[in-house]
Amino acid sequence: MADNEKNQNNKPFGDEERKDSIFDIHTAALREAPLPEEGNERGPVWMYVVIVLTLAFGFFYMGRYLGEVSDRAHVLFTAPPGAEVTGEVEFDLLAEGQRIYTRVCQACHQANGEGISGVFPSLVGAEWVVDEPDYAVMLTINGLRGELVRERAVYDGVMPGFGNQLDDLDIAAVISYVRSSFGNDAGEISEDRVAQIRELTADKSGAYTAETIEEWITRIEPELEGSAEAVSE
Amino acid sequence: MLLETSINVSYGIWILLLFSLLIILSGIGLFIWAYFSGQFDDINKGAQLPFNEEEPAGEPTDQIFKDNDSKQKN
Amino acid sequence: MIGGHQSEIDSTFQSIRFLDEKARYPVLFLVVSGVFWLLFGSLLALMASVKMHAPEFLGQLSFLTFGRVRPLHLNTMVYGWASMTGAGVALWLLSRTLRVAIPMRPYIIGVTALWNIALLVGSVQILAGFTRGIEWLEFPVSTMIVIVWCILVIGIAAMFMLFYRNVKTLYVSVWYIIAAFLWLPLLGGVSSMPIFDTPTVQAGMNWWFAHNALGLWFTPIGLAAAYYFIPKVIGRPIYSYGLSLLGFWGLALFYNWNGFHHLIGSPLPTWFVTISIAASVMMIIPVVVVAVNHHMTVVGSFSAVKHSPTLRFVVFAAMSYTFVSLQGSIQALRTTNEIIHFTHFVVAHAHIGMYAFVTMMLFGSCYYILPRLTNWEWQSHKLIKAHFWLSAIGIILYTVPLQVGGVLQGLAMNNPDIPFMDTMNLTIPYLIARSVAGVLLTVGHLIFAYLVIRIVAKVGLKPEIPGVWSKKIKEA
Repeated sequence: MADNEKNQNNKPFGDEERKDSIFDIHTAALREAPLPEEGNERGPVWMYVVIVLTLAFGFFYMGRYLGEVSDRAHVLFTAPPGAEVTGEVEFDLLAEGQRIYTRVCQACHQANGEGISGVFPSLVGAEWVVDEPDYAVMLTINGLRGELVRERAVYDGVMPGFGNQLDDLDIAAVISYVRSSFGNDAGEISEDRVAQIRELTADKSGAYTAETIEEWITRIEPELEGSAEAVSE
Repeated sequence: MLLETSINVSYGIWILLLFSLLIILSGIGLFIWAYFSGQFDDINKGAQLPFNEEEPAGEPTDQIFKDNDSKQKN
Repeated sequence: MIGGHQSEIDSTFQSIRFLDEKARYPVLFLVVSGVFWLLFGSLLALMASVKMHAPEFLGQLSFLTFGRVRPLHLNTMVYGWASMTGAGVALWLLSRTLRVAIPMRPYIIGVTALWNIALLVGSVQILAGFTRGIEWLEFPVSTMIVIVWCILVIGIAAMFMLFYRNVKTLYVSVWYIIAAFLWLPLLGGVSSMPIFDTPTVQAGMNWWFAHNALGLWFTPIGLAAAYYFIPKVIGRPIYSYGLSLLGFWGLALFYNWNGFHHLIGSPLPTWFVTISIAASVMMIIPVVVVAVNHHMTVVGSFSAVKHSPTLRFVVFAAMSYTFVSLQGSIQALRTTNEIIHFTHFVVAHAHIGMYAFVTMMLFGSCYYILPRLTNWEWQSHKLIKAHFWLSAIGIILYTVPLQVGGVLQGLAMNNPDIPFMDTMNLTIPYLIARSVAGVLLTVGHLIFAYLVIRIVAKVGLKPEIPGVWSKKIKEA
């Protein structure tokens, strides 16, 4: 074979040739001997059985579970969640308010509503929460900064506005919760009231200060309908 | 059990379908090319392709842990 | 016995030494870059893993929070380590099996540099909080487009090699690699298009891409390496060339539908998901064919496996491929999916695919390729063995506990009486086991990086003739 001639021309590296003569003879013998009959085997029978069974399963599965062929969003053949939902879940304003308070307010006003002296005002018996909740609604929407003088303490902190994060129902819920917790004992306020206030103060940008909130409340008060507290039915 | 709405998932789904089929078609295209260019004429030859006269079949390569054990020739 | 086609391959310009000489710089640059991203990705992986059971760990710095570290780990491992090293290995395999020197070498080196820059920019962007928020595609589109373009250029070089090849018949590795270079730019291009505007379709595109990136890019490269190195190292032709081709076209037909099985129970049209599940099950066909082929080739040559660093890694990887694929077929079924979906089981499954299969295969390939490219020996056989055992034990310690924990987590989450926090808490021991495994893997990677640096910089022992060369090899 032409190959063999070429092989002899292949120079092994330098003087390695002599040392390896036995190895070379051995290799040559190996190459004469038939190599394993490989390269064209057919594979075991069980493999073909697996192939046929897999194809059969695949086509059966597609036929059984194909569903409607369209681009409509639909979910079929998937088991529903284990727990059955029975009846309508009743909406509890105060429970919702507590959830929001824990998530949003608690970090500053604390779990007991007493705030931190000098920075975050106490909500316990606070005039703007209990007696005149319109203030609470306004400053929750827009925020409040600057010095705030109260009988027992002077606070100087910043409260961000939550008007973008919380919708009217959320604000109504959280203020209702604060008004009935921490020893406070006032009624719920309605979502409508919050919506009214939000609409009337839509021009206000940025946080109120203790002075500007008074200006705004005198401006909008005549236009507010009814009392702040929701009429309990 | 059955959640159905009338919302369509949008045309994007057909684009995914299109490109999936394109991938399958590229596979089929390769097969057709392979068949007509004679790639399957001598199927046994393919198995010998990694070997040649420099590194023939029958000689393991890369046995460096063995060389180490029986001391390298150099 | 040696086939007649080999008489075609006689000129000096097709000798193995000549081909490897030409392959040296492009392939080395790709591999070394890959190893850098491997180390970077391992560091991020360790951080993310520890955060899973100690949430406060490094939580003070915004750029080291879980939501940034974890996606970056995934992206650097996928587009840095596995893709770059994979592309290098693929080019070398093509050069060997097509008997033609790698063309466009300056271009390949150039795009590799660009690829590294794109990864660097993308990493900074993810750490700074700019991501697409789509798993496997967290890199901003700009970075992704550059990476896809780099792979496209390397793919063009691959096509040139195909057209100017010096053998008539294509070895099965060539089929896989050519297909991978065709498919990845397609996947990357489609996934970067701004047309997947509704959430459902975006999720569909997400898993179509992510699963196909594994199945149509990494899997073909990994299998191409297995089909080359197993016969090559043992010195025995593949058991059945015909079956290997059946395996390739099985992959081409069935794989690209698999991704939607991630979306069982989503509002994606049911027939999409159903076809995807059926296709996932049908993947059993190419997998069994490949497994039989590899097994029958290796069987009876255990000593060759023992004495070769390459074959240890490659055989481990090939076995993992069979395991992970069969597991995937079972996972795709709706009944199983109801338990394991949204649990750590899937994370472990992905790591069997990307680590135990792809990464181990690339390690094995590097152990074969680098000494031939550099004409140098590996610094230490002991360290190679240490690397193998650290990686093998590490990935087993990673996946087995996490899959057990994942099933328990899934069963607990399906039970409405168990509060959600309890289902989280019960996974903590398994997550700690994962962190331990992560340390083992990282140590293995450090050893590998040390060995690569030593062999590329050519320091340490210099044998007169590298032991890896056969005595018959012609000088370049």
